[in-house]
Amino acid sequence: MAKRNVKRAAAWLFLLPAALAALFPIVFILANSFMSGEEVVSRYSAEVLETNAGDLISHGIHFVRFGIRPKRPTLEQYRRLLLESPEYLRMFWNSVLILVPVLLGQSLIAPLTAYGFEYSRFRGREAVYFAYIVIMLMPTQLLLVPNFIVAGWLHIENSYLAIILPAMFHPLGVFLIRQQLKGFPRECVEAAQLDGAGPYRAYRYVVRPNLRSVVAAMLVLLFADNWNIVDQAVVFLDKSFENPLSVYLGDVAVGDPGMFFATSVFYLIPALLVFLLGQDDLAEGISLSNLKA
Amino acid sequence: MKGRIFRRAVMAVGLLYFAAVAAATVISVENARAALPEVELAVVEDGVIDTSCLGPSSAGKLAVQTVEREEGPWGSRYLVKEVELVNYARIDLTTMYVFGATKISAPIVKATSDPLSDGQEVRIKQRKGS
Repeated sequence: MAKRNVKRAAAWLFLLPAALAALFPIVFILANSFMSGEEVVSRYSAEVLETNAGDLISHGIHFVRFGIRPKRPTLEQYRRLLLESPEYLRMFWNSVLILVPVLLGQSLIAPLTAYGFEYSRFRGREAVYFAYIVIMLMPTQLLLVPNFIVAGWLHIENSYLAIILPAMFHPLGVFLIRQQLKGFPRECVEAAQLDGAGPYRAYRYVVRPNLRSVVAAMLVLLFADNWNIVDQAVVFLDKSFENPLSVYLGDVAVGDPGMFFATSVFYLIPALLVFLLGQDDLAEGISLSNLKA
Repeated sequence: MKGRIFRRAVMAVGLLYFAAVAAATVISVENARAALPEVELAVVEDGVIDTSCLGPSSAGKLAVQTVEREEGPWGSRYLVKEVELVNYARIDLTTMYVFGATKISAPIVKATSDPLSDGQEVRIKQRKGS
């Protein structure tokens, strides 16, 4: 009993600081989003201003004043963001515009592709699969040049399609789903085929209903991946207002620091909601795929 | 059961969030548009310009302000561009002939609700019945 308590205390001792460290950025951003623009600038500006010159006068050095308690809590940052900044809202919708087709496309394409790789018999199947999966291991930046060339061939450079299409065919989902299909009883598919079901019918009525968790896990992971794209947008999109908010967050921090924290919270909420919605599926889907998170 | 209720609650929050952002988008676009200076336009016909369209440029010379359309974050937007006039002759009290003015194909500003500067975004006053 005492040994168990010690183990438990040790776990808490390790996990609590880790959890606090992981939560700190969210708490920090959230708390700072209730500061007025002037307070944010005065606290975090690297420049010495009238409002933050106290340290320089008394200590001879200028400090950034980290804090999570606003002097006078206000919703001013949110008001400015939501009612006076249509350009940021356009970028938010740009993020949505890129993300939704990617997720819809992946949820259709990835299970079918994985099913094809697992249940179709053709020569060189594993070699093709290997080549496909190698793409997953490559850094995004490495794939930008070939993607850019192909986008030129297809005349879709400077359009969202240049970002959406490669993301729609990203192999992560295929890999996750095929891993799960390896553990799926083949007899079920064979029984369906004995009953006269063709490959698509067997997929539609036998395999697909059992892929719910792994598809949900895939969507959560792809959401995180595509909600935060930066490189693809910088390379493919011409006009600044066509960029997703992820690209523009850095510019907000520099150009309009008084609104940065509210913009960050605003940007964080969809990701948080998707995670809350898919957390069980994420754990289940990844464990069913025999992978470690 | 508990999980299902939690999911529904999260989905409801998500829907509310997107509805709020959509409403905020409409309001902020309308606010931004309403805050723009309103201009009334005229066109240059055969090099003749109404004197009410003339004004001093930033360099102190005689100029007109053209309005050019370009693609903006929320559809078309209209930007003011200053065009300095070099050779001109007064026809009467209200009109002026400008040599080379036929090259000005964009409409010019006739009246404005606020002082304008080069590159400023404006909204165009709708004529009654148009």
